Amino acid sequence: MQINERFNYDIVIMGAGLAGLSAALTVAEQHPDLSVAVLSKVHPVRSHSGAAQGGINAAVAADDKWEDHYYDTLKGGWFLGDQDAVRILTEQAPQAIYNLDRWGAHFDRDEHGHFAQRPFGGQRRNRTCYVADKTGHALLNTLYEQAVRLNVDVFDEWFVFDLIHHGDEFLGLLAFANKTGTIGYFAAKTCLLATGGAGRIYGQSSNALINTGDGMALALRAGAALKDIEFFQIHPTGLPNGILITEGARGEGGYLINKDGERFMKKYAPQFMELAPRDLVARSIQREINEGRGFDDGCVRLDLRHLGAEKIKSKLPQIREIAMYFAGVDPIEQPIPVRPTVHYTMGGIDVDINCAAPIKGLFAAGETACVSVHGANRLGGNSLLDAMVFGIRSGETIPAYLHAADGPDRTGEEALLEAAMDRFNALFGDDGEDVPTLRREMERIMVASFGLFRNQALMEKGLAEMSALHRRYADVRVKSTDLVFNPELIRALELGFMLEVAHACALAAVDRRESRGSHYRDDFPTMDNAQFLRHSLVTRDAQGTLTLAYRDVTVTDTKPLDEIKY
Amino acid sequence: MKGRFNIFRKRAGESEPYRQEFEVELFPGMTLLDVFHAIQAEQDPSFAYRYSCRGAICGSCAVRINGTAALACKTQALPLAEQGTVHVDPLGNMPTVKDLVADLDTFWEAYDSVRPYLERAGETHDEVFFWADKLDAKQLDQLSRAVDCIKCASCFSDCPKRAEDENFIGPQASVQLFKFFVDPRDDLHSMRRDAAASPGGVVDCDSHANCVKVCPKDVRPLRAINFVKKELSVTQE
Repeated sequence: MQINERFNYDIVIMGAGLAGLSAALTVAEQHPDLSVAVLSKVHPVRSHSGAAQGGINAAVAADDKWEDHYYDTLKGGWFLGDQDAVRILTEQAPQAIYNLDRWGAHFDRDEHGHFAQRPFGGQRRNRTCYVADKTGHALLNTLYEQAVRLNVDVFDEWFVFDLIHHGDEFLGLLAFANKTGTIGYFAAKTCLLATGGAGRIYGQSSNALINTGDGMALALRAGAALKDIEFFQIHPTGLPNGILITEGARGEGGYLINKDGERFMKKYAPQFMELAPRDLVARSIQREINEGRGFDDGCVRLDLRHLGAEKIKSKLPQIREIAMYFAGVDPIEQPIPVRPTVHYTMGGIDVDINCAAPIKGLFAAGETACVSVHGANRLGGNSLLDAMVFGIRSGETIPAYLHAADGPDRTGEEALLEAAMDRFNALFGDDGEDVPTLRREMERIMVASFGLFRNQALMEKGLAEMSALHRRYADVRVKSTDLVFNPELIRALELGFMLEVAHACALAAVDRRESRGSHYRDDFPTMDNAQFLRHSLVTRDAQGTLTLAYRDVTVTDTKPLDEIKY
Repeated sequence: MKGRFNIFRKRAGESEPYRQEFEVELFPGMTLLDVFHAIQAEQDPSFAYRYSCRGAICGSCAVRINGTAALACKTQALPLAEQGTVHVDPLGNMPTVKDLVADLDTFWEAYDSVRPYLERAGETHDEVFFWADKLDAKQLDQLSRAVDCIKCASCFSDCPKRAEDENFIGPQASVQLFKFFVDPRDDLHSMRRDAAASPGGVVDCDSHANCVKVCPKDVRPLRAINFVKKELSVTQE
């Protein structure tokens, strides 16, 4: 196979969720002279941003201050967030809301006509703007509408399989169109990676099936670092297929029970029971499962039956629907199977506060990136915000970069493309490793060794297993050479991306000998600022060898606490 | 139990479609999308279908199940298979690219044709805004439903009017038109009214109401269409 079509753009954006689209809109509005292409492996409105329900944080109320949002975010992240980055996130948050409103978002309003705000965990006041319980969906569709208005070049259902760079200079992206099978080379002066998280490396994840860390892996392979990639947020209650059952079910009085019918939270949090902090509930559930008190399906049960049909129907209609449609269980009659589910990737591509990676012309924003703002644990309502603020910001910093820099030196580009196509073509063949088998093994290792309980022995075993598995990937072969909607090929490429991220996570996790936020170790149960108030940075050389390094957290004005208590 | 799934197959390009039957071991809680994954992973790696969120919010996986459009991820497989062989087809009113992947180009063309975006003069947001000042409770309820639309194309697939008249924009685009038509912030109101009244526009809907039945998000497109029709008849009089 060879390249069939060539494109030239000033900016090519990979990913069309909140980050990618807000970047594209910002460029289109402010710099209509610049050409922008947005590539997405799905149609933009299918992006995972749309699954976010709760809302988006911003100090827009007259009596709120961004400084308070700033502190809540730092503390929620166990002070691993860079303070200059968190300042940008929180100070620019109102502008993101205003842009969304101007673009047509249907934000709920309060009785004074102001943006309505709801309370979310870890914040000292109501600060979360929302569109009913479908905020991400509404905002994603609003952004796509404006992309239609501004005639943004969207290449939907184009799958990016390689990033071309010459040393530390970005040159372009290689992609194929699912509908036609065309292979296109998108030569561009700059690239924004906005491909979302990598929660799919775990066997239990709330993430969309498309969240396979594509941008993270491409950046890592190109020489950029993955920062704090050992931090994955885990939600306590997901259905067996990972879909979230919100805290509201426990808020209304739902019980968590093990296979012996015991309300086991009385052992772990006798005072707060099911409403203890998220991480504690998650670990308690996992401990029950690990110690053999889960049900045969590897779950515990969330029992709502004692609430009665009437209350379930009036107070929890959404949760009832989710349980019926996605688990086949009516909570009026049966308890819901639940287990912890991986929810958010705090780490990501190491970029500076202008969203720039160390590779010239390469930028990243949103969950793909780690600026870093979420630190060791993300606050609810800050994920849509991160995507919006840094999406918009990259839409300003990339034009500034283009203004100051010459285009890349394209000497040797053809040879690089030839080598990339050789790598792509080598993926096809008859006998090789089976993709679903390897994927299941990766998912198993991540859950077993890098899940809610981590310790040296478990993680060393997991890292060794992951290295071995990663080597086996070299033998994966795809039988069908038809590029039109070829799920075998896509799943194989995605597995390659996921293994890069999973392997990097394993390496960084083993070495962080402390507990901080989502990274909980039973052998080092406390946080250790003296040694680990640092970002992990995993890089990869051309042979695929991973190296771990550290960088101090940026502290500007707020002294990190030595213990996090709520 | 083992479920039987009779599935529409078509290779890319000009090749002839055919049907293929798969047996899949079913367990409680499994959705039809899970069945597709099982077929792809264990029986035929080339089996093509769309997916993303598997939580009924992205709109990717709509197919026809026993002749009616629905989201595969929101359909429990076991109760369905207990009633007999399950027939699965790509969405209707559009060509098929491959297997269960419909070619959505005409669907998106209809969407684009209604200028589905807020067009407003000025560069500022509304610091203070009252929806209830501008719209009554029924309109607000329908507007909220319009925002819920996930563009899965189920309504477009199963619209009898679209089947006989390919100039008709279909229910989904009509919902989009409604959404901006009633939005007091929008500057294109008269353009939208003209578009709704022109051939192929909202007024051409024959009120079959299939769109209301198949919509997985209870958007009730016909209700949105009737709001627009009513507004048009009022302003004509």
